[in-house]
Amino acid sequence: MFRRLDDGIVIEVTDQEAGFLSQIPSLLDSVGHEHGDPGYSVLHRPLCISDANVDEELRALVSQELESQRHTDRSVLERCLRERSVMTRDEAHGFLRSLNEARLVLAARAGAFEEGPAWENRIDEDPSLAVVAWLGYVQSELLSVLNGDAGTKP
Amino acid sequence: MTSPGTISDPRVSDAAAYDRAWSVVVWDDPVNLMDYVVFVFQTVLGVDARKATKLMLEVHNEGKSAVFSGLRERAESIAARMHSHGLWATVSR
Repeated sequence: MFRRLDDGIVIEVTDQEAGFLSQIPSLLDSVGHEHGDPGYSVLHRPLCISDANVDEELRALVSQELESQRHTDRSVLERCLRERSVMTRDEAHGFLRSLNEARLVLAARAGAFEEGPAWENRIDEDPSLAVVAWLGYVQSELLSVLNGDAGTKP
Repeated sequence: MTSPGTISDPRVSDAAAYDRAWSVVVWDDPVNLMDYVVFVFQTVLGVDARKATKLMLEVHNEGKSAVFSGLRERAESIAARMHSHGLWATVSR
């Protein structure tokens, strides 16, 4: 699924897989559009739970940079899927973060955070949880290449 | 005991102690992959795989792990980077 080259990492997915993955940016763009979206809550968790003032102060401090990075990560994912271009290590990190963000949003909307680890028992019943599991597989594949465990150019 | 002629400024030591008291706690969740959490700890904290795995297992088994203790600014930066990777981290003192 991913292969390490001398100058970076290249994505090797089928058109169908690319089609699934290319929906991630629009999924993430939809976060927060509906009131009470659990996907929004999971991406905006408190930074300080012992002091509301510190939490507010911190959120104000980091939120802009956080959103900016998330948008950059989505752009990287979009471009890499569209062009099948070689990713630098930094871009691969961004790709990985977007994959993770999508998993969190889908899982949150399916109630997995309230349910706990048992959500994995519902993969066969809930298509969105099946996608969460599949994205986890994609994530692990990319992690293996980043960690040098697999996908090395022969 | 201070050396002769040295005057200690209690405000300085108080300020240092205040700053040293900040910590970052990472909380368990049922969705983030274990190998991804190890990767994030290595990336954000700069620790090796063994240490990162130890911290990840602490999060997984205990529900949370204090992954950093030190200056407030650094704690905030680490917590923000954890959030940018999708992990839930909080600062406290």
